[in-house]
Amino acid sequence: MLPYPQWNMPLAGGAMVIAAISIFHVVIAHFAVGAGLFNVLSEHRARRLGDAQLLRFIRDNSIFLIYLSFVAGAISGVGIWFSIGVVAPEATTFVIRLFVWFWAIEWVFFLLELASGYIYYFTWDRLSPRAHLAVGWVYAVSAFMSLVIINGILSFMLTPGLWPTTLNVWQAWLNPSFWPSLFMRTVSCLALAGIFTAIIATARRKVYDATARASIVSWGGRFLLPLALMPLLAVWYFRVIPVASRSLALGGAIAMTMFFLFGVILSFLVSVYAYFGMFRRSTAREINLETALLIAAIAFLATASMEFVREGIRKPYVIMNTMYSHGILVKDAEKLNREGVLAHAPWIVPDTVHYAGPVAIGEAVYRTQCLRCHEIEGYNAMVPLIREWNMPLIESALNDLHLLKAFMPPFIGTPEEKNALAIYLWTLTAEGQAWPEGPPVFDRDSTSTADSTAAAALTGGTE
Amino acid sequence: MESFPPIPAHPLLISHLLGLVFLIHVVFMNYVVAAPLLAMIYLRAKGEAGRLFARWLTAAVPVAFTFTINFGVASLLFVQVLYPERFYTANILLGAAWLGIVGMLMVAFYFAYIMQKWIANPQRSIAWSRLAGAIITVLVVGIAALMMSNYFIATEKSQWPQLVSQPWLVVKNLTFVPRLLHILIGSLAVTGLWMVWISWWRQRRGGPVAELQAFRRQGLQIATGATGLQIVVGVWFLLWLPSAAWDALFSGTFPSMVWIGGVACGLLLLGVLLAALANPDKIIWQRIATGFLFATLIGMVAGRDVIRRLAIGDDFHLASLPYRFQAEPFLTFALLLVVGLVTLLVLLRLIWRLPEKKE
Repeated sequence: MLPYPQWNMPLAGGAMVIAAISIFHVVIAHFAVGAGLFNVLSEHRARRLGDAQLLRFIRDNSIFLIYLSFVAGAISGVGIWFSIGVVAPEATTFVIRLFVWFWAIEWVFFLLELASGYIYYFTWDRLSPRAHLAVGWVYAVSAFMSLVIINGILSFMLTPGLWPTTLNVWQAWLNPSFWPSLFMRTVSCLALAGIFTAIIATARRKVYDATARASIVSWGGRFLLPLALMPLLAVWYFRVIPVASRSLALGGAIAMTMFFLFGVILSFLVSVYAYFGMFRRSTAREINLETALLIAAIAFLATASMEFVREGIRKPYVIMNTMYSHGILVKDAEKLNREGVLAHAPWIVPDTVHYAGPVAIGEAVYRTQCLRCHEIEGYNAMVPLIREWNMPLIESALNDLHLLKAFMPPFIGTPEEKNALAIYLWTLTAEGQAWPEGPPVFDRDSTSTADSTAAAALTGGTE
Repeated sequence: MESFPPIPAHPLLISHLLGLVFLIHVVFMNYVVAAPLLAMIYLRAKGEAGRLFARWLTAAVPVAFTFTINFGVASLLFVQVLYPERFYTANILLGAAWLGIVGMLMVAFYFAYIMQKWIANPQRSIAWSRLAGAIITVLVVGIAALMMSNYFIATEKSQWPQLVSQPWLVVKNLTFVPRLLHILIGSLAVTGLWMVWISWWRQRRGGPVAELQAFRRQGLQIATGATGLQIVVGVWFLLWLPSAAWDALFSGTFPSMVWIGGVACGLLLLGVLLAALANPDKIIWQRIATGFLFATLIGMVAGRDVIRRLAIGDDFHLASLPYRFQAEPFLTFALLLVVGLVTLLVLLRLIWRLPEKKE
């Protein structure tokens, strides 16, 4: 049920570690996909028009792609796996097991992407134009297919579609939000390729004169124009996702709504700038490195905001209707309510060194269900949330957690565990801190079973 | 694990795929570990030859890094499918140190590019290039130690209660040092043979013959010396293994026979390398040596699997894990793998006949 130990990052929280690595990776990975299409389409154009400056630029762009995508992009991709495996191993186990052949297919495309990316750069002026373009197309298609595969897995986590009833993995992968999500990501990939065009062209002012820069930046600007489709794609996306998720983004959770609006507005601003600043040669000439970097920063924030929303609107699940964000499967909840969550979390042993009786049990329950999102102190921490609460409020909140806040999972565990958690949480409140001898009423006898079971289970088998 | 989706193919199929991709990972990884170190040593030698050898060695490091990571990802994918409880638990017990691999890898990879640029620039002092080589070596050895620790924790379930609060206890294990030395010295042997093939590759494309012949001889000497040393360290490593591991390695099962064959090939490899060293321009000995090296590596990968299965065998039997075959996704993967490999061959053929790049 919860077969793994818990890992947390003090103050920041594990979720923040995943977010930091993921957003960094997504921006680079999207650029890598967009740059593949950009390079090969640009090479066609340059060869057709005999544009030597554009050819030179594509060569620069392809080595920049290797430096950025093959190192930081590839390793941060590994970093996502490492971090989700440490912070959310249950969900990782689930998607790895379910989609292992899809991951393997993605790996094949990744292998081709790397080989063709290197060959594309190292064979400039050494292969015939036709052969070189063919290599470029191998890269572009591989990189894009890599996105297609990953997109299916990510979108499954929000919209599993018919999979829960049919258990057909194709239906899991080709789920209801697959297509809108793929189109949105593709637009984002092209936009990032266009923005990096401006950065590289303006960073190498000694190589490209003003006319060449204007021409290159203007050409790159065309790759941002599909951003204009984003509002329509967003409408499509919001039509297919669950009502509860839509509600969270559209007012149900203020942080989610703010991030969503922030992402939409930033994307809109980038597309407006693409048209008025980059697309027209007269204005493209005026763009300098600082401006290009600023646009890239805005695009980074827009991507980060949208990824935050995509992750956030799945709550209270990490896999919609299947696994809660703390890693407990929905189908296991009833059993855990009967038998206790600690009895099925062999690594979560009550800390009897620092705590006593029900507080120790409560702290252990806190680690099973709260810690993954709420550190004691720091980002999204527990103490600021409940500092002014009293015992009846805590008990009431735990009774109807999922009803009070749509993005919170219900409490899972026996009434005794709930009681113990309430007592532990109460010790974190201002009232609890001022009253060291404990709350007025609690049931000490109810905790002994879970305590001994959890301790005994640690060295037992969990397969 | 019964709550999670079943393994989507027979566990032995996944296990063999794991062995295959891990083998390729090891071939590239060994180059990444040893090439910067050897380049650093060549840079200590006076004269242009040392710099040239270092340049040839470092030229391939970024590409080797890329494919080390790519095949490492595939290996970890299949490990996660077969051994999730062991693998994730080991990750979590190592915690921040495990996540630190990501940063270490990124810095080491960027320094591989930096070292390559610095060595190629005659204006730049070689001290900087040596510093870059030292940074890469320290980082990749650190990563190797962490990966090894992860493997150790994953297989030692009985020690988990102690490792929860003191994950660094793995260092105290008697096999830790010989294991690490086994990796490092093995990487020198593999890289020695990489040097041989790099020299032929460059010679074929019109590189300087005399220097490349010297480079090839150096490669053979390194491979021979490292293989001899590896036999000593291998015996040391074996001696520290518990008797149950000996029983498993000599149990006569198919994986144990593969391991025994690998050990025999390793011993024969030394003789073949000595013959190659005596005839450095006869490519046949180098081909045979490479064949024996691959056979040895296959044996080592099988031996690693034997030890892992033994260590976790009390409550875990790979072949009897429940599975539900996802036939269509698997066939799609197999088809795309074939298409991908054919495309890869076509790409490699494109560059095979390219002349040496003018420098």
